Amino acid sequence: MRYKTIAPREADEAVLLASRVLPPFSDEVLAFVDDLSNAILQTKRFKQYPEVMAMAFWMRRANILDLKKQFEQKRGERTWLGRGIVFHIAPSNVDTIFVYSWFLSMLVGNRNIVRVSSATNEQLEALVEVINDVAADPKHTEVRSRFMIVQYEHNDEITGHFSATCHTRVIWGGDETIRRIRAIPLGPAATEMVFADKFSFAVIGASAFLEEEKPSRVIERFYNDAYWFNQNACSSPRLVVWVGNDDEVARARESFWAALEELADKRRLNYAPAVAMNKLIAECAVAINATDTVTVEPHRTSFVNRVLLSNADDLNRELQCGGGLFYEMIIPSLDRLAEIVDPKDQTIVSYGIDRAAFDQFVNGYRPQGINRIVPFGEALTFSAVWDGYDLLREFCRDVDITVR
Amino acid sequence: MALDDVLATGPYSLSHDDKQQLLVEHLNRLTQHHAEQCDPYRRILQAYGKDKQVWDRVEDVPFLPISLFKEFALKSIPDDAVVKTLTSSGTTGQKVSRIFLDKETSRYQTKALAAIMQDFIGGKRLPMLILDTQNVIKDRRLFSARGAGILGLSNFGRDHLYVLDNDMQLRADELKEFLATHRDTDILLFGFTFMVWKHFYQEIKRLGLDIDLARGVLIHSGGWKKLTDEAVDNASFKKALNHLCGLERIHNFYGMVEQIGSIYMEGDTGCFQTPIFSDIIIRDPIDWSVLPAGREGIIELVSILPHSYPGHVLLTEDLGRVIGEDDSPDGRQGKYFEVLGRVPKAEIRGCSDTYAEEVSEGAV
Repeated sequence: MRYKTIAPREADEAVLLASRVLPPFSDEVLAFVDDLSNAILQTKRFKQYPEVMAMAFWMRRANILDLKKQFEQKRGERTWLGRGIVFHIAPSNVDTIFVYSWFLSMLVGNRNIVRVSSATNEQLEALVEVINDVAADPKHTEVRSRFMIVQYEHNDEITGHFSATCHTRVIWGGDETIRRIRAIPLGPAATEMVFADKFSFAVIGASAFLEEEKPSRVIERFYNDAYWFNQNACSSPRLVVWVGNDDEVARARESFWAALEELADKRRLNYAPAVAMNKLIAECAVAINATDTVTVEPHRTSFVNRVLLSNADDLNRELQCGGGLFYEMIIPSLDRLAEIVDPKDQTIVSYGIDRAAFDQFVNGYRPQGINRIVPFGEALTFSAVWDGYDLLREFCRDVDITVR
Repeated sequence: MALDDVLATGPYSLSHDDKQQLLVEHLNRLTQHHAEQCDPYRRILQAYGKDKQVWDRVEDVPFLPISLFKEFALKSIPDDAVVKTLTSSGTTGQKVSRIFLDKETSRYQTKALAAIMQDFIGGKRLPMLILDTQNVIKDRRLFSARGAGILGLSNFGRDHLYVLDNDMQLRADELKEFLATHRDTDILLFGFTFMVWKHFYQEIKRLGLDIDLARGVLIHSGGWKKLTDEAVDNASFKKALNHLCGLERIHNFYGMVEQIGSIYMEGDTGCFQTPIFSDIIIRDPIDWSVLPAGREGIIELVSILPHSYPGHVLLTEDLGRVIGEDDSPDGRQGKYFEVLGRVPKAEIRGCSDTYAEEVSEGAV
């Protein structure tokens, strides 16, 4: 059974197994998180990876203390302890997820084994290097002995070994991976969290956009939501739902897409000819499979591709290639979202629709899907509540003490 | 000009204006035909708002991404008119293109290929060495690109000898006997580039055989991808074969199963020459505009032969550039071009699967 431990530098599985959990939000863990955050923010090479910078920002002390406060409020007088060893199986499409998953678990005291994708890339290597540098500091001995980041090609024996060892297993999708790993048994008392394939979309109030004084700011935020991770994260918007009357929507669409196109052409983040080609194939596939009218909007460049659908049945959530391919739908009012939402839906990034309208929709229609409704610019902002799980809570067990 | 007349015309006899006029007339005819007969094709045109239109220029005719033939069964003929189904080569588990041929398209392809071959090797059937194993043509219902290529080219030879046995070993004795029998005539050799190098050239060299192919014409195809590790390119390939067995006439050709027949033979320019029934357009992937000669971009191929499937205008996954037009020193008219490899695969980060990285990527 061979796997490669890429962090910490002198990892020892036996020591990890023999360690006990730390108390939630221990000083040792807070110091480690803080040091890693600073190390990333101060390392020049990370400037080119906005998602890593965003993660380091999330890790900064003030935010972690905020999480601590929320955690303590929820806990009240209860006794919550880390579950023990958490085995995280990270996704290959979003490099930073493994850190969020590991850190939330570590914050409440757990020991962690993290399997990252065996396909390395510069960003992952840089991240692992800085983690190793920070962990090497003698003051982080307690943290260092409680985590392992491992890499291996898909291997049921190794996955089986960690699965039998851990107290909680976390599988960051997709669906096929979850199916394969679920066939591998956990210990009888272990718990599991899975993050299945998800689909996310934007909802835009057309009249609000037409009245917006600083549309370029709105566009910038949407651009970041869609183009970081090359539109491949579960929470990257892939569909834009316009809310308004025909005339408003027509005018809003025209100025919105023209501005996005201009910005996307200027930035050219993650552009690759193969992706440009994949988008053409997807456009054709949608047209072939359509049950109703679909319109491929003329593209000025390969950075923004759009397919206008007239029927929600033609929205194929599986058909996604990233890189700036947007489906569009038009509805006269928000309640008509009911015709579009699906159990697979995760994040709505919204502009120009107020909270009351969403509250009314969610509580009134009670959709099976939709786990987050956030403003433009926050699609990829990681939250400690994800896909309906309150992660800090899930990583703990409750010790019910009733003696007086 | 009707297609049969085009096929009877010299394949390199038209210069730019005449050729473009001829092509656009046929491409408009084919676009209309496929829109009427192939439902998926019509749906695509409708979605792009490009149905019911007549185009003025070849470059305006809508193209299809070539890999659609892997995802969908695209055909413009009834099922019972299918006489052959071609498939692209691919490794196990990989999707392959399926190209449906009827009698008519098949006939056009044969004629086009004949016209091209005649221009390069003359009208006489030559004794022919096939640098492959007979195994690849065994299943006649489902042709692989390799099998189809061999069968297509076999028509231009006689007294065929497959020089590899079923275990891909060189049949050295039979080869020597063949060359002794046909010592007084030109001979035709055909094989896939990689096979020619690996199982013919290297074997002759390893075994130290004395093989004289001074009167041979080698036609080969398949690309250099599998040979990049050995640093073999067109020039070193030619030089090595010339050195080893005196082979002087060597023509690489470029073509694909999705547009079989209208192949691009390497002319005296060392580039691939476009015949009158097909053409190349280089596009900029940034906005799909047409790039001028000399600029590298994605290769679009047009052919006026596909009647049974909507493959007359295809955006390939290959990179290339046009080198010149109508001014080849061998007098052949038309554009000539270079192929510069495949469009690099996009990093697999989509589809959010932890194990996406393990999806095998086979060589085509």
